[in-house]
Amino acid sequence: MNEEIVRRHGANFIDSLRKVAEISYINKRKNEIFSFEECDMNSRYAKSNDYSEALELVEKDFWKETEYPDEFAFRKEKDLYSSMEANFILKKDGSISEPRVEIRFQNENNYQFSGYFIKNLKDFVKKSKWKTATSEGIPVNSEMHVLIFFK
Amino acid sequence: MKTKLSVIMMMFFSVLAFAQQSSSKKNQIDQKLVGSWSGEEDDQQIAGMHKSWIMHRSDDGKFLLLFVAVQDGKTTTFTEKGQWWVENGKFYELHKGDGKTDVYDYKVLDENHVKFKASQMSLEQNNENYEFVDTRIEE
Repeated sequence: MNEEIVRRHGANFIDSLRKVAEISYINKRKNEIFSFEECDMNSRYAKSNDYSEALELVEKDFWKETEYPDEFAFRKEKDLYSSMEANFILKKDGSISEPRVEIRFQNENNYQFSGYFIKNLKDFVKKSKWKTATSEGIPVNSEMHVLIFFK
Repeated sequence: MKTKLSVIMMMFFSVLAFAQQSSSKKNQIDQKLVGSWSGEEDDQQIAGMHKSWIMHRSDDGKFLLLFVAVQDGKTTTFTEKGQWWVENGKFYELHKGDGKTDVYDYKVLDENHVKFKASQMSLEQNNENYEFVDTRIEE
């Protein structure tokens, strides 16, 4: 069957049909919010065009602007990492929803600085420039996650 | 003598500024909210559910919350630990279990009553205008 299709319509015929179906599916959901993974692997951070580099650059840029408090307890060699994550919706027009931040410290004492870090991450996300996500090249609303690890 | 005094003054203000900068990174506590409190609500977060709670807010920013929820004749109890602070007139409640923070507008009605109104909640609510009053428990 497959061989006959290839013989009659060429090797790319099935892929082209799949592409048409995917585009049609995305267009039907054009006002929905796509999960991060459903989108194309393009950088959504305006400062970089490379997907992997963008993830690292976001974290680097955040720490350029954020100081650790003097009394912050840093991670010891065998400790698990503490982290925080900002979640927001990146809309097709490039605007973003109010970020929500989840934060987890391995050292209980660091919770006394949670307000400071949450505010800094929210401010950073709000002032950064983001590039609209795409799925099959079509601009879509998407979930965004910015993950930051503490030292 | 005058120069010496100026140098000392400058050093004093530098140390003061440094200390203020350092402490400004710590969560801010409103002492009026410290202590043990009780509260209850019906149908606000989940339709058909009655919730009552005892909340202990320490002045080091930690809280311990004991909830009793009754729905369809079934009672469940659970506890939550976390961190609280205030910022720009809002009350922040960070739940250590899931790392999420609920944000409320709050108003101290008198020394024994505080009114909270949801501003940004981590979970979807039955009622966007979720509000309640905490009443201080005599210790």
